[in-house]
Formats: sequence, structure tokens, C-alpha cells
Amino acid sequence: MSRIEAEVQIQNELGLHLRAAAAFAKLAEGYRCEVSMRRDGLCANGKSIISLVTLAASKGTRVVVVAEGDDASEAVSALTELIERKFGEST
Amino acid sequence: MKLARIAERRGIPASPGIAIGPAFVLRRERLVIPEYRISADQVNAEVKRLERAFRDTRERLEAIREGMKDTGLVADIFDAQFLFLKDPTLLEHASRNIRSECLNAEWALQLELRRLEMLFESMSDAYIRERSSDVAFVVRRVLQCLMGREPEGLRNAPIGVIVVAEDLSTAELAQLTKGHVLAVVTEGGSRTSHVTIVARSLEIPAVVGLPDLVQSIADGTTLIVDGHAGCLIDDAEDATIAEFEKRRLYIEALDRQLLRYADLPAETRDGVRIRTLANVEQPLEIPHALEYGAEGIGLYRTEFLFMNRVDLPDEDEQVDAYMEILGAVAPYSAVIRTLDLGGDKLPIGIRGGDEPNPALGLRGVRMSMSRPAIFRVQLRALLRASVAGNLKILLPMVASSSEVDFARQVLSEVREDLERAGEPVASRVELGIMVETPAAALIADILAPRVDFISIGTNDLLQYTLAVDRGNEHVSYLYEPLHPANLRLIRSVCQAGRRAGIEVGMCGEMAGDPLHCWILTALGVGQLSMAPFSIPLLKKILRETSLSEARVLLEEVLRLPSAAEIRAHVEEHMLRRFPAEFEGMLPSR
Repeated sequence: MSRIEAEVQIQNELGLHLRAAAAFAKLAEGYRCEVSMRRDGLCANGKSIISLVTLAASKGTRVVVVAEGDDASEAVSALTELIERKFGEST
Repeated sequence: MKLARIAERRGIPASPGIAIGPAFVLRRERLVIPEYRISADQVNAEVKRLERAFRDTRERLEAIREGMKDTGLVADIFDAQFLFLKDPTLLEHASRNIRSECLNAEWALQLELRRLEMLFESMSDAYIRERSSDVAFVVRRVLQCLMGREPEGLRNAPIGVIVVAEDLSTAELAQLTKGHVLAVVTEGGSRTSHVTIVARSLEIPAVVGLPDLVQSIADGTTLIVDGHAGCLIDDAEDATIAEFEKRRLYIEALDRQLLRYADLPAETRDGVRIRTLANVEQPLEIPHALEYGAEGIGLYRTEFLFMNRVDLPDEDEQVDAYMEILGAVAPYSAVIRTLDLGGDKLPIGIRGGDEPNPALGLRGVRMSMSRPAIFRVQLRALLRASVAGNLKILLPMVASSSEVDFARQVLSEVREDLERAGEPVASRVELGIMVETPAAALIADILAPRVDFISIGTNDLLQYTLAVDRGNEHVSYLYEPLHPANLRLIRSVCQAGRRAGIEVGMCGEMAGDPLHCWILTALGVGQLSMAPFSIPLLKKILRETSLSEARVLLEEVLRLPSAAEIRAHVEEHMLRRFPAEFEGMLPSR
């Protein structure tokens, strides 16, 4: 059982909006570990689109991706990469 | 023949046909949510009850979706709703409300819905705010399941009614069947909304975009729905009902009689061949279109692929969609238009900021230039699909040559990439433009040599040329396809096309109106793309026409000073020449 955290900055133009949240939750869904995202004292379930969207993380916001479980480190690296790739969003 | 216009409401003609029948008003029942506390030892059972309701709701919706699979329809409309139904937050938070407050499941879920609605409401993003209705829909279904209520719907509707609703959910649309429901009228909806597409493919007359319906229409009121003209008449006098009944029978008879023209070419007596093509929104419509005598698809809009969803369709999904179209219509060609979405309809990933005036904003090829990645994916998908048939690519909203050059450049880069990767691509894929801005019409001579074909999009061209928003009741009477300004623009585009040796066609409503086909033929429009059901009549009229007499009419018309005089002249002339065809048609204008 391990717990991994990584801080990343939301870089895409539109921030963590619905599409981005959907992409994040879908990817998180594929891991056994618990995933959450934190921002300024708020915490969202990383596998829930609704929950992620309510963080209202706009471009430039720093968020912390937290995973707890067997595959936590894989999950965190994949999820932070997704954020860094701007959720595959076209510019 | 003039009809008294009483209590006539104008909406958007969504699906053609005339229906007369009693109103069945779909009123959303207000769910009274039971609220009570449970004892601590009941908590686990209550949570289980909630979980079961979520599971049952999911299974039910999945069954409905499964049932719609064969029709190839709307299955993906459900996706947003499924996303929320599966989302752990809803169930988790509602369960927490049960555990910590000892609330009953309905109350607990309702509280969570309120919380989410407030949250969504506070978001600045309009798209997210709208999704709040998807969450509400899902929660409502779960609540109904918890309370043992049947979701309201069309199943209870008696046979032979006209459904009146604010809007129809996907689950309700799935219950629509021809014969059971005579027609559909809704407050919401547009030309491309789900109601429209489903009604059209089921051949159920429909008018959408009619405000205040549910409040003002009583159950059982006799309604007249004219899906051709987009109007609804309630509380009609017997004389009006009789008139429309006559017209309905007349149109039906005419349609049957006209079908024998479907397989004949649209060729004038002096040998001018016009190609009649179909505008379609969904692959499902293609068999109909071919039955009605379409010689290809003149406009397939790709917006539908991109709308009402959370994410963008990826390349493979697009390839499948385009191949389906191309395969279904082959060996005829299909003109597929690249994405033309107004800022208000985009999926979240590509939405820009709000624009004060979207009609003059970032749409069509401008959007493609500002978001080249989306454009590139679409072009890649189109080229990959091109091997399935005969593809022509159409660019919307062109206003300058640089836009065409940009698109050509991207298209050739994409082709090189694909060929280098060994992907098969059709050797020739034509690239054409919509002429729907006055700018494009005025520089048609500059644009024509750069493209393989031109399609005049009259709906927008007219709005921009006449500076008339046809949705604005104060000025919509000024919207007139036969306006001399429009005729001059069309003429000069046709001339430019002839000089460059390329085809000039037309899509947009003007092309499908039999009243206009002489004028358009004389102006030199060689392809007319329209709603499939219009094709047989147009063929009949063109076959009984000669180019020389059409030219005489055009000459006369071009000398007239105003749109009203031109219309009167054309109407009179066509009515005289084709009394049987136009007698029943003109009153609706």
C-alpha cells in the first residue's frame, strides 16, 4: 500500500472543465488505487467527473494529484502526464 | 386561395408533413419527495435500497439504449447521462447523507441534487450549467425508481395524438413510433436537435422552437401541425381544419404520384441536366434519400458528431461515421462539410469564450484556422474514409482566399502524412467551398480557380446579404430568396464557376423550393441539394421545363425592382404553368 502525491499546474486554456474532467476520471477509473485531486483545501474524488469539475480549477491553478493503493505510482504518473499534455486538448 | 391566419404559431420546420389531431400535452409531474428520518439500524438497508435504485435505473436506461441500437439513432445521446449515472459522487454523497443524518434515500438523493445544481449554477461555463439538466434527469429517474413510479413518457399516450412537450428526453424519443404519434411539437429544439433528427427519420411531422406551448395548450385541443411550413395552429375553426385536411390528403396523394419521378433524371426538355442531391444529417436518412431519387449527398453536416457530448469524437470514430455515409451512398458522391459550429454548441474542449454575436464570430473555417488540431483530425479522418466511396470535402463560412489556401495546405499535408504511413487514400478528393457570405459571392472569381466545386448556402447568404435574422419576428418578413440582391449574387457566382470550369451547386432551403427551380436553372446552378422529400416534385417540374422558357422568366424577373414584385411574378407564372403542383402549396407561404 503506498501513497503518492504530485503537484502539477493546469496548463490548458479551458482549465479543468467537463471534458478534461471526463478524461481524467476515465483514466483514473482504470487504476485500482484511490485517486483524488486537491486544490486550496478542496478535495475531489479523482474518479468522479462531477466532483472534479466542482474544483473549478482554471488555467494556472496548481493542483495536487493523490493516489493511494497498489498501483498508486503508475496512476499518478499517468494522470500528471495527462494534465501536462493539456488533456489532449487542441489549442 | 388564401387562408385566414388565426392563432398560427411559427416555429422551426423540423420534419415535413401535415398532421391534424388532438393534443397530448406532456406535463412534467412534480415529484413530491418523501422526507423522513430512519433509525440507525435501518441505515445499511436504506443505502442498499439507494444502490439498487441506481443499478435498476442504469439497467433500464441501458435497455432503452440497447433497443435503439438497431435504429442507429441517438444511442450516443445517452452518453452524458450515463456518465453522471455512473459517477461515484452522486451515490457516495447521497449515501453519506443517509448515514450521517439518517435521512431516507429519496431525501438524501434530493439534497445531493440540490447541492450539485447550486454548484453547477455558480459555474461560469454555460456548457456545464446546461449539463445540470442531465444530472437532474438522471436523479429524477432514480427517484422515480425509488418511489416505485413509472417514469412519465409517451407510452401512456393514446394512439393518434400530437405530442406537445417542452422537450423530449432521449428515453422519450425512443418511445416514438409512427402511427402511434401523429406529430410532435416542442418548445425547445433546433434544426439539428435530437427531436428533429428522430422525427425526420421516423417520418413524423414535427415543428420545434415554439415557445410557451405546454402552458397554453390544453389536452385534447385539436391541433394542426404543418411540418413543411413550420407552423402550428391551435383552436382552429372547422373551415381551417377542413382546408388543411384537404391539403394533407392532397400532399400525400401528390407524394405517391410524384414518387414515379424519383428514378427519372432531372433533365429539361431541351436537355439540360440538373443533379438533384440530398441534404442529410444522419446515415439513417440515406436509404430514404435514394428512394426519393437523390443522385448523391449534396450536404452532410458533421456538427451532429460533435454536439451533445462531453468530449471530441476521435479520429477513428470520425472515420467510421464518414465511411458509413460514403459506403451507403456509393457509387454516388457525398459532400461532407467540415465542422461548422457556432460558439454556443461546441463540446467543452473546444469552446471559446462567449461571443456577443456568434453569427459574425468564430465559426466554420475560421474556427478550423484557430483550432487547427481539430481541423487536422477531421481531415485525416475524411481522407482515411475516402476509400469507402466518392468523397468531396466542403468548407463552410469562407470569406477570403487565404482560408481556402490554408485548408488546401492542411489537406495536402495530411494526405502526405497518411501516404507516408502507408494508409490508403482515394487518389482524388475534391475540395469545395460554401458560398454563404456576401464576401465570398463577390470574390467568387478569385475563389473559383482555387477550388474544385462551389456550393451556395442560401440560408446564411440571405441573412448576411439582407441583414435579416430570420428568427427575429420583426424583420423575418424581409427574408426573401427572390430578392434581387440575392439573384445577382447567385448569378455572379455561377458566372465565376463557369469561367473556372467548375460545378456550382446550391444547398439551403431555396434549392428545394419548387417555386425557385426555374430561376436557379436559368441562373446556371447545376446541382440542387435539398431535403429528400422535395426531390420528386422538383424532378417533375424540371422535366416539364425548358431552359429557354426558364431564361425568359429570369429576364423578366431581373427587370423587376423589388423582392415582392419578383415573388408575385414567379408565383403567378409557376401557378399558371403547374396548377396542380402549386395550388395546394402556395397557401402555406
